[in-house]
Amino acid sequence: MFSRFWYLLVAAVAGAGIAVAFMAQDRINEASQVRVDDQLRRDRIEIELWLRYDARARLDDVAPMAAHNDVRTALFQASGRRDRSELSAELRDGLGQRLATLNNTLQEGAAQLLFAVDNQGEIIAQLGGSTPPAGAGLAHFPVVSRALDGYVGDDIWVYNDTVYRVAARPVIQGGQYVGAVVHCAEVSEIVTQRLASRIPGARLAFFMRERTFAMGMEGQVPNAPDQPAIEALLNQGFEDEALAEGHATEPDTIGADGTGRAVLSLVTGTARHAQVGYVIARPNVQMTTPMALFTEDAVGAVNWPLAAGIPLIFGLLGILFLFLERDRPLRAFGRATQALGRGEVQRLDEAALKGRFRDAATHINAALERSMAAGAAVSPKKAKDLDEILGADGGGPSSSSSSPYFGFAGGQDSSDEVPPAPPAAPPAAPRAPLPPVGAPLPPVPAALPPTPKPAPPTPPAAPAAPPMTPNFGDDDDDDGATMVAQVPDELLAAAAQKNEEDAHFRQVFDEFVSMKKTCGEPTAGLTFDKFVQTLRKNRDTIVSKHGAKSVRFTVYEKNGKAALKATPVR
Amino acid sequence: MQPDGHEARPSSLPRTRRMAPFALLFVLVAVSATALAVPVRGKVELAAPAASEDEATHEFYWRVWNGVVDPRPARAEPPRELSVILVGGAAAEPVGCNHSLRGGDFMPETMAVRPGTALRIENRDGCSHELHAEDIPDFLPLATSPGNTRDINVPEGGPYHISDRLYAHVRGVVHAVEDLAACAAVGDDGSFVFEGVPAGTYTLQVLRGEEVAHQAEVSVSEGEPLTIDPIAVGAAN
Repeated sequence: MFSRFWYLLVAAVAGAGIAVAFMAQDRINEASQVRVDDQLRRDRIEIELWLRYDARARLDDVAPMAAHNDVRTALFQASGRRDRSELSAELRDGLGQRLATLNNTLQEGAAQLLFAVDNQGEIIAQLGGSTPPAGAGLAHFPVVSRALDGYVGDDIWVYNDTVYRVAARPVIQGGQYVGAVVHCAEVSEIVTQRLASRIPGARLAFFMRERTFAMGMEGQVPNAPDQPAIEALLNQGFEDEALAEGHATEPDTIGADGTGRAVLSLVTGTARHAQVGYVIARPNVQMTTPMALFTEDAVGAVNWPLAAGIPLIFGLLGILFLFLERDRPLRAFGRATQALGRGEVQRLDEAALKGRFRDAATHINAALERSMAAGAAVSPKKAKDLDEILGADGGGPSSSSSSPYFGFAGGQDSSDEVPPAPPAAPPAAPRAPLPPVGAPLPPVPAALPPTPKPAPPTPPAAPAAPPMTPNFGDDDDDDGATMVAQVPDELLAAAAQKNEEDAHFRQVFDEFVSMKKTCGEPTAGLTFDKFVQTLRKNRDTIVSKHGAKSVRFTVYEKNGKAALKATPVR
Repeated sequence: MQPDGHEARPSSLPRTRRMAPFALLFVLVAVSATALAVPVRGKVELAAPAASEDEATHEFYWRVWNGVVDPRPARAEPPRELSVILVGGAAAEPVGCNHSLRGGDFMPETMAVRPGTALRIENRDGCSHELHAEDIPDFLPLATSPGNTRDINVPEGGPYHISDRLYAHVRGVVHAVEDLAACAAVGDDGSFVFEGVPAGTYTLQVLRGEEVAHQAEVSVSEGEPLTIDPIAVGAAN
């Protein structure tokens, strides 16, 4: 009972384990995505923080330029032109050279594009970039306009297809604003890489509209979203309301196979109008199967004593239940039947058995009682085969195998035959009471030869079967197919008549031929005369050897072949 | 009559000699007309805008006063904000209507053009602009490099809004004005002048953004320069 439920329990646990594995996969994927999304938000804050500090640092870098006397003087002269007349090349060149010198001192912070404008915003000197038209100015760029009004400020520009981080400072001379210095540092791969180093594990890409123009990543990150994946995200458009309000988008899946997450943000500056921004992308490899749990690290992290110990304990419990419920009762039953077979007991001890074995013992005992009650003349011993019967006078198996009778049985030694159920049982004899369990067996009749093997008791296969053969236990115990049993007196009397014997032989022959055909054996050359001759020869041998009045033959199938069995009748 | 009975035909004069009187008359008229065209002057008193609030967020990280000299107060910029035009007369083409991108913005931001004609904008900045107008379908955002021009075919109706795909602060308004005669040059102080206005009756309009901030009839007499009384225009909304 427990062992059966134990199998159900194990199956349920296995099913639950599989379900838990799938749920764990989903939960792990979800938790992984949440973790990546949180990291992306922190990344974005980190980038914004760095850009803010960088803007401040560049404003400080510009300060020495705006405060330099040569710059102030030149811009003062330029702003003093009431008629906006052309400035001398000497003034412009001198200012340009001075700015170049000052810019070089900034080293890494040096501008790639540097302007000095007068108080009207007209470009007086420029470093880098293409030469502007005469009279070109920057007065209406917001950051320059603010600088000309006295404010230090920053911005991000798209200037001739290049994105710059801009810092502007007013230039003051004589207590008045005479211009501004505008420092422009390109948003380059180097800067992007430097920024990306602050967010390890993520790829940073600056973009303008649908095109990325600078990318960076710290080291090698497996499954990191690449440029095509990022540009595919950009191609989805910029309709996100969060972007319009100046915030970043919520993290979104990126990549054709969805192996990444990314946030998108426009830059803080007027270049956002040109859809200049940056993307931060991180890999987010999803588990596609619970088997992905079994990574090397994960396996190493398992508490194996616990993981193996618990199933082992459960397994041992299962084996214990099996032993208690099946093996031990079976063993007890086996011992009981062996004792019964050896004649140590007259019946099985039902109280010592449990469950179905007790029921089986009850049935066996009932069969034994019926068998013993069938008649005192019937020997409780099992029928003997012809070899055993004939073996006493030196015939034995060899003599039996030479008999044509056995030729009909397929040419095999009849000692291998397993006795099937015997023929019809004789009339019931007065029932004799069974001896108590453990009582000694009654003496075996002297007429019977000693049995080579103990025959186990026979279950009540057929109520009228005189030579019962036990059908439980090992069939090997029943080696020797031919059964010998005593026949009731009425039957002996009837068999005395020759006519009946002939009829019996005819019946046996017919049955034998039919059996051979049924078994697919050839029947050519098998004639009734030869068959009868063999039967009579065997009958005579058995009668003379055992003092029987007659012999009854029955046909049965053994190992797919027709066989005969002889039963002496006293 | 000649001896053969045929009347003598007058000798034909050279074509140039026959046209000379007309040419002389045309030159005299033209010269006199030019001589009779007069300047029309005036001044727009544009109120200064209120102190600007903190500008749109997300466009900068830092905006810090330098701490030395007080910030310059907010001020009006008439050359940038206004367009003063004359409408009427019989001029074949409007005079003095030049538009450009200068200093990183339209100069002026308010522009006027006759409908069905091209508005030409010259890029005098050091950087490219990508002008476009959502309400003029054919005017798509294309890059205009420094020194190049961009023509806009302005249909009837309007006003039309032009912007730059690269710079949010570059925003202009184009008015399609029938019988546009002239555009004035506006100075930093709001003064304006129409040079060489032929005699006649005109409508003077002061345009600011989408609105016509001022409109008045003006009569220009031959040989008499006209100075218009100062025109007060309130601050922009």
